[in-house]
Amino acid sequence: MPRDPLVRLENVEKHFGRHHALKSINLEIDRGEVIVVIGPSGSGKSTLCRTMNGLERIDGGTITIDGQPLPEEGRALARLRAEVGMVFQQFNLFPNKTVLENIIFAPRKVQRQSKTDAIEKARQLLARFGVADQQEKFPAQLSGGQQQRVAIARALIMEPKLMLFDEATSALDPEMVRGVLDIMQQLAAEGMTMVVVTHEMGFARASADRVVFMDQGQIVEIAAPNTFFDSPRSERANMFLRDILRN
Amino acid sequence: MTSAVDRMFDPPGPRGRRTIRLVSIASAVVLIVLVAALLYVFGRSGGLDADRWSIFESAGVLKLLAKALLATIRAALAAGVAAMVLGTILALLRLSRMSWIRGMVAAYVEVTRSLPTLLVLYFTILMLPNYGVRLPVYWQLVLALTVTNAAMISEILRASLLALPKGQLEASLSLGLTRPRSIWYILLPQGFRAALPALVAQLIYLLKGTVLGYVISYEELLYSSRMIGEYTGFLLQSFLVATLIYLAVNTALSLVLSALVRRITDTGRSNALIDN
Repeated sequence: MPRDPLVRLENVEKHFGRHHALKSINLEIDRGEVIVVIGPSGSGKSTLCRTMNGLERIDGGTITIDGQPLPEEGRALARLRAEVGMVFQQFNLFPNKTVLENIIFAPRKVQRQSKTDAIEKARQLLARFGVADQQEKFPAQLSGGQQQRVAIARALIMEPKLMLFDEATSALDPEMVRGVLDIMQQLAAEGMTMVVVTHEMGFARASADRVVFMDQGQIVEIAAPNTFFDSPRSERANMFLRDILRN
Repeated sequence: MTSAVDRMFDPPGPRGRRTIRLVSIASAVVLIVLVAALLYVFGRSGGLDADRWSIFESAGVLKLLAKALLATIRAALAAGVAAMVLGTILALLRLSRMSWIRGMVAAYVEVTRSLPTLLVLYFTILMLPNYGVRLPVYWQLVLALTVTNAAMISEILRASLLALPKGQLEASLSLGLTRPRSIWYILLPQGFRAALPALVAQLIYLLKGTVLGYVISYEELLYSSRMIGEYTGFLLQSFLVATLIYLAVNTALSLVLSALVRRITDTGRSNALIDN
């Protein structure tokens, strides 16, 4: 049976000036698969994540999503982005909109949903994520963990076929991390296709179908989580895991 | 109740509180003495005599002042709205991804903001008729004020848009909005809020610029005050009344604009630069 991956990256290249950020990246992500991308800082894992919704434009290679080449610009790219949810390290909620307004913004403006429909869906998501009583507040009045849960709801309400998490828990206080990871684990269990850039090795072990280890702009190793954490093949992955375990 | 300034510093200790109290009392005393002295000297030369002020009880003079105030407000309002719209458009064009548009707008802004409004006004008087354009004095003034102030407003707004966190645009883009709509719905409201103090200052400056109407005999507040002063011989009193009116109008303008923009762009959080 021929494979029908949701995301296919072929020979993807990215430069920032003279810095070679992504070197010939090849990766296929199946529907419902959870890919966790780990690696030292500056390894290109965030950049990789951001190429998949065109926030970083690639200089070479191809990215195919659901059989279609990733559009380079304009409305076509906007339409694609509406189907790919993204969660940022810094939440990036809109500070001048309430929690509810943040969430219904895209359904209203992009999908032209009616206000009552959008609000109804938003309320369900907020209730599910334990922030139902915060809907009239502004982002600045919420804790980091609450803000990130709202940001996930804002992405999910679009019913994306792919979710990108770019270090979604890295800016959170330690006691806030659990709540956000729980939601991500739920999503993974429900069959959402996810690309998760993270330093949370526990999450990788529990929820990843495959772990992608990157270093210096290259994919060094791709393996099932248990295989990767118990017996990494590459020396670089070995060193990385030793460094992490020491802390 | 702590003000924005208080929040910027450590709370004062016992010695700091003593110093603050001492300086406050001293400066209040100095201020009172100064005002009293000014009034005394002014009054001794007859400046405060009732008959020098009684002209402002006459219905004719009041009507003239009211008409002049209205003329000032009408010109400032039209030019203010036009300058805000044009300034916003210019600021957005400078965010264009086409470098030749950015370059052209930058050149235009650089030139128009360097020109004194009076000079622009002279150009509108002297040049436009050559092209068959004959504007009433009101529109000549509005045009000149719009041109120079739009340039300033576009620079203020551009700076505040560029200062917004990059993540705001990215968040909007990744939700599926195009770049123009992201700028319109997400960046612009936040940019206006951040630029509010500077924009209010610019609009007050614009309102004061209406006094240039005198070169084209546009009968705004200062023009009419001088007329009243010259006609009655009480020039200083006329100018003092004009001062009070400008003060009142500009304070009202500042309060109303601040309240309005703050309401439209509430973030539920006090902002040290805007709220106090």
